[in-house]
Amino acid sequence: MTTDTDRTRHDDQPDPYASARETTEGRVYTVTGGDWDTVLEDAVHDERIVINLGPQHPSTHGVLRLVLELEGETVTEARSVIGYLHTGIEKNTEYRNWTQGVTFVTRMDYLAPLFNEAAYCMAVEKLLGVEAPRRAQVIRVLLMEINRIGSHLVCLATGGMELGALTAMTSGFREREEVLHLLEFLTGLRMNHAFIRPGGVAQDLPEGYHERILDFIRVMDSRLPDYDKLLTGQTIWHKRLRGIGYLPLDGCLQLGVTGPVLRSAGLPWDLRKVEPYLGYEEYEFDVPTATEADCYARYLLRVEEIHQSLRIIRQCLDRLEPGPVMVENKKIAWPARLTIGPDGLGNSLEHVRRIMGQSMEALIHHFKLVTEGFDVPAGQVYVPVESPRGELGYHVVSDGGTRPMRVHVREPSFVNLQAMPAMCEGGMVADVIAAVASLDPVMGGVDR
Amino acid sequence: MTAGSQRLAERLVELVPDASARTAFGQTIAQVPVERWVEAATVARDQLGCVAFDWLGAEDAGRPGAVGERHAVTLHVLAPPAWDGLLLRTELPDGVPLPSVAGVWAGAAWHEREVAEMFGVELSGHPDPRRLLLPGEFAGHPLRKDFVLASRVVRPWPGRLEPGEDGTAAPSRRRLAPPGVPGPEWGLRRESE
Repeated sequence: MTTDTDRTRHDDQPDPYASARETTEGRVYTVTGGDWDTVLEDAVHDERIVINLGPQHPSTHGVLRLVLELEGETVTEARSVIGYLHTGIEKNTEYRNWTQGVTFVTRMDYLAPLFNEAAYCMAVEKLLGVEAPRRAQVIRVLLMEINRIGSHLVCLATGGMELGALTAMTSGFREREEVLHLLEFLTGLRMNHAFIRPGGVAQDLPEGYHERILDFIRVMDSRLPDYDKLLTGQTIWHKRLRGIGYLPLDGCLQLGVTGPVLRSAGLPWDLRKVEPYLGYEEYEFDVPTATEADCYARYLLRVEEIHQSLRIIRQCLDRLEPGPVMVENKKIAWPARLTIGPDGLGNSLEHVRRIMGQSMEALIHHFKLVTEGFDVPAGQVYVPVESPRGELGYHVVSDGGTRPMRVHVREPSFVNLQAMPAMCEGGMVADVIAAVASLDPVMGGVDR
Repeated sequence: MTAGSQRLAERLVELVPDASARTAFGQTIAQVPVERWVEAATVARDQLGCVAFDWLGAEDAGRPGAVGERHAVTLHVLAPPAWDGLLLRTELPDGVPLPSVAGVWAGAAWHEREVAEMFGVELSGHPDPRRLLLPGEFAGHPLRKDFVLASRVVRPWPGRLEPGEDGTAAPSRRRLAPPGVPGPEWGLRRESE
């Protein structure tokens, strides 16, 4: 259908590729066409489009929204829009006592809950001036390394899915299920464990943990080579990842990027080696690095880190000697070790009988410690740990009361995601997905 | 790496006038006045070699009765080859904008935007001072101590109630409010009341 405006436009601007002449039948066009190269030379390169990816999109790694300005298929400007998963956890910890804070921080980075718990508890312990007993420290290392394997597996799985490698997704989640089963056996929960508490860990490991962990190591050792068969040598995987998402060392330092992304740029920065905590200096493990600074190098580093974590887990088993798992300090540790025996009954009855029948002071003390919590000396500390995504640090401020004054989290996902434009601008739109997947942001950690 | 290295903090105090260092819990914090915030950051990068950005965070430094009147901003940057960390701190009186250090370390940009929206701090010299996490129509600054958890006032909180909250306690008993919920001067506590 031709409208008046169309006719006016045609009259005013003659088409350069179709000359027209007026005849008695009306206007007649002679379409001449032209060489495609000359047509392209004439075309003006300002046909920019802005596309929106997310916040609900299968390829954006969670509720991450990307706004991309494209010229053809080239990304000229990339921005991430975050905040869709903001939960106010930092604020909520200010209204709960120090021990309850663990149940909040474990929900931030939901793929690395035990790292959040450990870093938070180490910060509180530093303010309290106590140190977790040796066995609790080894248990923490053991749980964190199991958790690191699970987190890296999810990164491989979702990263593969986002690039179309669906088998990587199914096998990654299959192996991660082994990790979650083991964590459920050891801590009672698959995620959001709240198992690490200020002063130690909530309970000792259950009976039979040694065999279960050895079984887990056996399963992982047999299945990890499958990833090399499936992805490492695969041509499509190479073509999608090699030279993509390049972020050199100076860019990483400027932006504060840590973790596998920084190590893929050649810096052997791993807090377990740089500033050892929880006795990491006693364990033998390597920090793999690469110099390519691309997505493929980051993939290889993550696979190698899974192997190194298995190595640490084996050493943990040798170092687990009998002993307490909570500090002896009666002002911090709960008087009752509430555990459930194999008969399904707890040991609390005995404890309740004792505090009710014998000591009123013990009852009052127990009540105050559970409901009010303990005081933490006024001051502030910053305690970082090496999480699967990089430096996870807790800046904890106390005003001397039973509740935190402020808990500020240095979340590696949040800091690393800021590097997304630097990795994507100037590249192809399909490579944005690969670059974001190699950053491995967890939106629960980004938004907190 | 040593978080809050004493060596770096003491060198900064020598180089920047009006700066002071304080050590607690094994970590040293160099305190600078807000007028010298960018100057101290530039000295840290160019003369102390702190090329790596780590994090920037804020807290409501006002004690009860003076909340929201003073904010403390903490910055942590790292210097190779030992990767020691320098903890820099400044205090902002109410209404004084925070000079941006995003020009010194690009990574500070998001952290400063988060501080601005969460604490109601103004930024000066920031390349892109928009909101980061909160939606545009959000009112208030959630991490300030005087921010009231308003949704808890109007909507019953799921799960177990606080002691005395379910109305079964004797009428004479003082009603306990859950944490973050304001007093009865705010009006009715529940939709059902």
